Amino acid sequence: MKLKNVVLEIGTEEIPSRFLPPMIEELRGFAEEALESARLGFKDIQVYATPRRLVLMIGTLDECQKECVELLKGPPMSNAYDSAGNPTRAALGFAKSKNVSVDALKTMEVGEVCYVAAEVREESKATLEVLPGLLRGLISRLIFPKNMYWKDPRIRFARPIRWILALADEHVIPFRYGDVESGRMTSGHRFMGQKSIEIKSAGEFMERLYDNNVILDQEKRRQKLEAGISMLKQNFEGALKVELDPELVEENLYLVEFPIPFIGSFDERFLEIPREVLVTSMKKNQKYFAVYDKDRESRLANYFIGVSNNRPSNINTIREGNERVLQARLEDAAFFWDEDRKRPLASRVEHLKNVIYQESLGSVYDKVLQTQRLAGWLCSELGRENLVELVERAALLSKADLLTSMVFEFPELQGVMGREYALHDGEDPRVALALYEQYLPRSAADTPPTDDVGALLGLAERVHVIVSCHKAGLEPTGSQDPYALRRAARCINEIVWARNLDLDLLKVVETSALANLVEQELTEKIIFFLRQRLLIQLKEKGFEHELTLLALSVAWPRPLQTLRLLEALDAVKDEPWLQDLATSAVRVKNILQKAEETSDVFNPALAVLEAENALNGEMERLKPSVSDALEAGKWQELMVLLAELSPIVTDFFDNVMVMDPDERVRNNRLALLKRCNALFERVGDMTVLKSQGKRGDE
Amino acid sequence: MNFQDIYLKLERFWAGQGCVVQQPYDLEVGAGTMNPATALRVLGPEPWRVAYVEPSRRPADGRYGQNPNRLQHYYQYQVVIKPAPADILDLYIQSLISLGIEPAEHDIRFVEDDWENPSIGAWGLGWEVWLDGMEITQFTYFQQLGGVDMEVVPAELTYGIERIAMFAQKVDSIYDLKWTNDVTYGDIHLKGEIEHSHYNFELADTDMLFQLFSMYEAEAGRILDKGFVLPAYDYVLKSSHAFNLLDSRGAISVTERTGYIGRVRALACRCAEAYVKQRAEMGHPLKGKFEDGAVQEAGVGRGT
Repeated sequence: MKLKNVVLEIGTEEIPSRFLPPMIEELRGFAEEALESARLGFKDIQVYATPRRLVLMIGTLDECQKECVELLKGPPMSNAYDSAGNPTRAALGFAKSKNVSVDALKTMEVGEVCYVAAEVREESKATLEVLPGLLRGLISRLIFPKNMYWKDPRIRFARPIRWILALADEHVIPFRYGDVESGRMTSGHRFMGQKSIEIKSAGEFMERLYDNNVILDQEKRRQKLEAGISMLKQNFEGALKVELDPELVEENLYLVEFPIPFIGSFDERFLEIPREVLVTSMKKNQKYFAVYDKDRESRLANYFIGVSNNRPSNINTIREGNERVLQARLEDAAFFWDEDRKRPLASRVEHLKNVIYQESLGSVYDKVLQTQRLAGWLCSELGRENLVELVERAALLSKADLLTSMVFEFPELQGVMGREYALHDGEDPRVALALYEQYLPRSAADTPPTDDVGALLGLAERVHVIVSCHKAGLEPTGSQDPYALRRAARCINEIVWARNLDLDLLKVVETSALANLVEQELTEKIIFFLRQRLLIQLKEKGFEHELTLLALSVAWPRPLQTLRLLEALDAVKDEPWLQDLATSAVRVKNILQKAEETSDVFNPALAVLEAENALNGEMERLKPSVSDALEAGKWQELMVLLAELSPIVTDFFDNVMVMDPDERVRNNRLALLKRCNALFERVGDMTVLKSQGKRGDE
Repeated sequence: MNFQDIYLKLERFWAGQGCVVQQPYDLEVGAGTMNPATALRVLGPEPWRVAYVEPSRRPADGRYGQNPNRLQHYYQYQVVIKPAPADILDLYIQSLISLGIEPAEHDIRFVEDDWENPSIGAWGLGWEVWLDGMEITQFTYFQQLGGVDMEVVPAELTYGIERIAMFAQKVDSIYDLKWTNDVTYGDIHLKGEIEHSHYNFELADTDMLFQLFSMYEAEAGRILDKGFVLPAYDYVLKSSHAFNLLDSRGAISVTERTGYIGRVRALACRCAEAYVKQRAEMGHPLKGKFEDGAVQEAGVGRGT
């Protein structure tokens, strides 16, 4: 016999929606762990959450614990019995500690040694006996990002727990948690359900909740929400498009127990305000979905979709109420939009002196000026002299929108408002665009800047932030990265790659360090930090560790060249010639390490074998081309050259015995290898390709 | 429903729940929470139930009477129930019904909104209550005040009564609210909003206010040193208001701001500590009261 259904429902006051999706996974994990360690087999586990309840359902649970017999090791036989075969104090003590009689001790062998052992049988308890403690333990493990107490300071939860339903089929699983006693009572929807519902058997729980207008399963709520929105669109004969922002769908799902989408409208005159402002205001303040014109893709329509948790006799009441609220919100936004445009962005820059960037690093104004200087330097460094004026103007204005009312109200519109206000002020469109694109990419999936002005500004600002934060001792440690410096480093590489900017990280950091009065030791630390980030980022792209190290050893500190070289290497990584060349590189290195100091002058006259002259000749022939390829970053060409060299070197080792008894011949050959090594080292330490397993650089 | 009907009805409702119906404090406060009837009474083990209107001053929120939703002076209806009963949300919903708001016909929601007030070292968790998308109440379970953990957790309900009135009267501007049948909110407050906005943003004598701030601060400290809590707390409120005026005047830079808030908080924390001690010395005289009117705890699922 198994228990068909076990239900635990933690009934609460409204839990913040953002806490629930992670909690579903956490509760599932804890439950699996707990059942396993209690030796209870089960078929499946479901976890559901609404604002007012967290529910764990276990399907087909063993009726009692699995038996557990364990053999526990005691003292070695030699210590356990004396010469007469009587148990020693060690054996007696062990038996007592394991609660078995000394006569019942068994033996076990570990390696060569024989030990006494105690067979301990864990009692197999009925599941119904185990569950109270198990479920109570589960609840106490749930910790939210923010927790509160309401009665007993030791009992904390996101919001007060008001009831607990715990049923195994028709049995109550009795326990007490804080001031709440578990039972078979639940509660329906706050406004559309009965307050007290008695559940006879766990199997009917979900259905009874549904009868009381609680859709427990979040996936079913999602379906209902999406179907509802489709219906609303149909009423407009497909003239409208709704973007189901996944974040907003999720938020709404966990804000309601029964989703009822409705459509409302707002005054068309608000459409003059930049789209992002309207969308943000609707989403952030009211959790509404924005509605777009079907024909003109990105044009907003003067409608919105809200999600009600209640189905009144007349939905118009709810619609009108929401419309009035949105009207006031948009009125505010329109006010900010008008007020902010009364003053040009440029006139706000001065006031950034009053905004603290970071306690020990001065004002945002200082930061802007330093970014501007670095951005100007970057233009000439990267051959974009023609952009200096635009980049410096963009840098100057880069943080001015911080001081607008709109950004004060909606911080996430920083950059967007900079762009809009700059366009309004008649700034160069590329400057305006840069004010927005300086923040790109905002996330891993986001697009990089589309224009170099924003790209250069973004690079300069991020380098400045990395350098100045290190100076202020705000570098990332462990999982802590409060100033998002790792992300900044990542973005630098992303921008460099996307915009083909051959940035030298060493030079730019040194330039910024000089301006920030950063000492040499710290500068090196910053450079090491950037190198590590680049290594990790490249490996995340799927490149092999050894190959990445090789590319870095040649092309560091240029992330653009590093990536290109790595791509060239990756394309040939399985070619036999590359493997051969790496093997040769190892041999050359080993031989030279063992040999005494030798000159690197090769004397063809002393060459005995053809392979010696062949290697020397080929090296001399390839050297200038290799140098060219390295300098010009022509990595594919370099691969071709190395492919040519590889068989010659292999041939040398196949036919030549370096350590010839004749000292002159030997030294001549060592000189040849030394020259060879010098060439190898220029194209990177290829020996890393043969050092699998050594990950010292991580 | 006229504006005054709202607070009259709330007074009646909460009086019925055993609340002491107090009156506003006679000093400028930024919110009903600052009134000692909340800020001090929530401390310690004594039970407490109170309800009152609180005229609240937020100098920086003034808009010269031009914004239909934002004022530098408005009203809060404040309720504190300590300890918070298990059915407090049901009670709150009943209070809405007493205002003629039928929950079945609207969308009432409890949306995460955690509250903190750094200048009195206080924080709590709770919600903003939405009525068809409009925030009408702030609901908070206090966790800490004056840097002191709550010994008994109270629930604080702060109704935005202008919002509720605008909802009920379906008007778009606060100034159009009917206070009585023929007197509007604008009749009473519009001129004040205009004048105070000028004062708060342009006219306030900042030298004087800086001086007052320091004097109030010193006086609060001096009185606390002598062991008197309630007069000292008055000076904390005065210094807090002086700070708010300086802030709206733009006389305090972002850097200095934290410093000033810290000074007010330090005094508030001392008051909180002294109050806890004082009540203990008095033997917690309110213990055992609020039993008659207190609503029975009839939490969901516990009636079986």
